[in-house]
Amino acid sequence: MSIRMLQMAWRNLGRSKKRTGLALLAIAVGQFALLATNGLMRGYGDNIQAAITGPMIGHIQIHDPNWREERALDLMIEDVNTVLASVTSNPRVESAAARIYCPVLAAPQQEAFMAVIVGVQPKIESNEKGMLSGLESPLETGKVLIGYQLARKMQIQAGQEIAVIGQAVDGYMANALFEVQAIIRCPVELVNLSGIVMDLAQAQDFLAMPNSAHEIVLHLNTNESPGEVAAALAQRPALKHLEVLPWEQLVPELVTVIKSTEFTGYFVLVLVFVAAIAGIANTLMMSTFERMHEFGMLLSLGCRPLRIVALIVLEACLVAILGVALGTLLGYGFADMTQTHGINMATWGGSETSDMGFKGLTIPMNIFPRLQGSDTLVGLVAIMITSLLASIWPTWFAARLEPMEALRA
Amino acid sequence: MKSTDVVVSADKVTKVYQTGQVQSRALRGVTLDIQSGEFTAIVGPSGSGKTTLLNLMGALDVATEGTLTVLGSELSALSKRKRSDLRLHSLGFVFQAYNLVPVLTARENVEFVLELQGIKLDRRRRAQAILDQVGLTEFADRRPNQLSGGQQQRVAVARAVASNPRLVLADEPTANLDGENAEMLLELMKDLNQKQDITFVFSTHDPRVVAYARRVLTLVDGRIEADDTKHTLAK
Repeated sequence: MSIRMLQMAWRNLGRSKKRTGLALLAIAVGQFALLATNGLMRGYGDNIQAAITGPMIGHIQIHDPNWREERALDLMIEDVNTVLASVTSNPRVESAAARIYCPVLAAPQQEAFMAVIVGVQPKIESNEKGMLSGLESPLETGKVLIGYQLARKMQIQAGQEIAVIGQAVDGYMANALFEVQAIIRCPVELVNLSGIVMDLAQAQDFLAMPNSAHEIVLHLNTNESPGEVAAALAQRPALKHLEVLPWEQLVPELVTVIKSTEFTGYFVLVLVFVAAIAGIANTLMMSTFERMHEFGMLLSLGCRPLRIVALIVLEACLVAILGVALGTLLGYGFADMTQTHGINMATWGGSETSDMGFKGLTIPMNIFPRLQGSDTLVGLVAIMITSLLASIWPTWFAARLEPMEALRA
Repeated sequence: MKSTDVVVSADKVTKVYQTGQVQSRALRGVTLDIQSGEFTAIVGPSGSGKTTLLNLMGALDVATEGTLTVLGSELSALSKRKRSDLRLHSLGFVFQAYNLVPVLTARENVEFVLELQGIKLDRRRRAQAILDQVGLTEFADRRPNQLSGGQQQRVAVARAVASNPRLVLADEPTANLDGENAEMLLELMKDLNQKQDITFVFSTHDPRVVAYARRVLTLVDGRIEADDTKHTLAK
């Protein structure tokens, strides 16, 4: 392949600017569609993973082995402080938050409502990934926080008192009056819907379960390999009789959703592939048939058919590279432009809320597209293969040209 | 090669074109010899077989019957590749419609042939020297669409002789040129013929072109009707 061939191929592209422009546009739109879809789906996957590994589920959870199935009050992690000390000694563990969950009846006045006591460690839960992240003033002893949807249902406001009645672990009735410190909106759907959030020690006292909890939520310092950390923690003596599970095992259905976001990109890739084949093949065929006489002249000069084939393939590759470059620019431009505010897919779909609730998780639908270098590479390779496939017919035709036939065209 | 060597030798050459059920006989048993250094015109009415004969001599097509030997090679015995090599290394073509590569400049068109020949060094200088010879020094960097018909045809001649061919075949080279340009072209071809001993064979209707020829073959209905080897040069 000589510089002259490259020069000829390049200049030939300029001979029919509209046709070349259309082919370029078809490829560019395809590459843009691929990048935009991959970016959005990866951003969506990030949102799901962030929601999972956020306040509600975390990277790893520790429970009594039967807790997740039965949710019985007495299926506790006993000596929870020892367990917390053990897990936080692992360098990968950034935070460990013990929680208590207990269904109760809550009565602001005459009427009682179903609610759930959520006992938390306010200091730990106030951090970025905690359930009380963003809370303006710390949770005070003897006071509770009420989820905003439950508060709306109970028509209760901050400063009012509510009576809470439930059953303690020892079997006796547990009841007390609590002052509502604040109405909260938090990333955990369960708390918003029916949560009465109180200090862990207060919940332990109320439910007669000293130094115990139902769940420990761990956040790691990176998203990498929570399974390995969970397996390592499970070996520790303090956790011997407990279940230690990474998030992938806690919500396998969401793992499937995240994986499916990756396949969406491949689906678009196939569509791009087909559209590009049609565009490039059409361009190449037109340009080959139109230049029959010219090819005949080249053959009459002693030019080998293979050289003409190479010229056609080179033209196809140049269009492909330029189209991919243009599409990549558009794709990265799109990703860059949407980095500040994201794209709210829910409002595009006509929904008033910008979040989606799923199994108690709040998944933000405001998506920040994220691209990887491999997206561009996959597009480039696919389009190059497409270009080569699309050039098979014109090149097959050109390779069999006889100079006289071509000159007569 | 001495000027008496035979460049083209045709023996009872026949060419039949088949279009569906219809056969058309373009050449009917043409026999001729063309010596090295000749400046030969093939004349005759339209459809007489002039272009067909040139195409056969140029190894662009093969005869249906008879034997055609060009520069010592019997063409019907050559493979497609060998015929291509013969065209590349030993023959030059000038077409009626110029047929330059539209995306290359005048110099690049000439260089392209040298590149096809596998010449790696000095191509640019050689191409420029040939363009100087045909009087296109100032137009070397122009593309065909920026040149007049006469200039394009001179580029075509430069390209045809760039590879130092033994034989140049020109199919109605002046058909699209005005009188002045046609004369300039013929002077150029004659000069190349005399100075570089390149054999020229060209088809024409143009009496001015015929006047330049030292030999005139008249084709009628696919047969050689007259072979005026003692044609008197008008110029």
